[in-house]
Amino acid sequence: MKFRVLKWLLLLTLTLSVWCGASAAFSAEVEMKVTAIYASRENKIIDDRLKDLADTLAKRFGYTSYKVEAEQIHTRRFGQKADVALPGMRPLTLQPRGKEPSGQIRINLQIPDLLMTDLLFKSGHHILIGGPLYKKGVLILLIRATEK
Amino acid sequence: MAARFTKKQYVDHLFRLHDGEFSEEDREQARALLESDPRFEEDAYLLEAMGDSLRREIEDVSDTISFPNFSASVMQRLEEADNKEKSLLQRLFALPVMKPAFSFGLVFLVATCAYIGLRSTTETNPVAEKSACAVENLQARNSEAEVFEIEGKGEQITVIWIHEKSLKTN
Repeated sequence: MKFRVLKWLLLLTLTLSVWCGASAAFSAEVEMKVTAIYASRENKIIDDRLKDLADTLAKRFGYTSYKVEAEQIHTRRFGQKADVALPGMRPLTLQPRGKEPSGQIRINLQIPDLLMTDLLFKSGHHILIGGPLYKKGVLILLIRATEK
Repeated sequence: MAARFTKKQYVDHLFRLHDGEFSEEDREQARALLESDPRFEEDAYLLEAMGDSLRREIEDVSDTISFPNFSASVMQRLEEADNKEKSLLQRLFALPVMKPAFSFGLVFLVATCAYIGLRSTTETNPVAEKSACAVENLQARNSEAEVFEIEGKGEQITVIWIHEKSLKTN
């Protein structure tokens, strides 16, 4: 009887192993969230979603108003490109390239005629790109990459 | 469910119930039969079921019991057990490759769980590592770019700040 129980346990183990292995093998997807923020000194309105970050930005850059203009989430496998439409700007292209030995996710970013770079993300962390002129202030892009 | 017996206990118990109906030689033959047949080793439950069944038979026909009857009854039960079609799962478990496969599965599961656990531990603690992100191969066009870090809530945020030279977007 004990051997029967052991057999069932081992069968369960094998099933779980295959499941875990398969899920790990097909999990090479990256979710990229891009939040476009309009920063200005027009007023002192701060978007509720940015309260934590606004304090930091206000100290560093001196803007008083922060408004979320657009928010997009794209999920791509390594090698696939995602075109992100930005308000008042040239399109932004993000392409996950792979994982670094350090565990960071390498994403190539291109904004035509403005910027081209590789961003290395620790999964779930942010990189901020700011400065492009927009309306009466600047546009700030808050980008987060999360491995799925 | 019947009580579990070892083969020796079973034979002794069986003959104790019918003391005097078997000769010592019959006992030895019966014990030898049970102990020599490997099929009894395979399934303790089968042995128990047979014990119950045989005991009932012997009790029913106790006036005519003899070793040949007993032996024939045992052999008949064994034949029935052998002829009973095994399920697909039983046949699967009987494959010789299953034991190493299960062992491999166990090792693989432990390794996978350890890997996933370790990965999720490092990923759910953003404060653990200061410089979580980095910038490489930076090429700014029509602008100058500056890279620095600011202290966000619970994490250092890497910043690329673009100082546009001539392109005003709006």
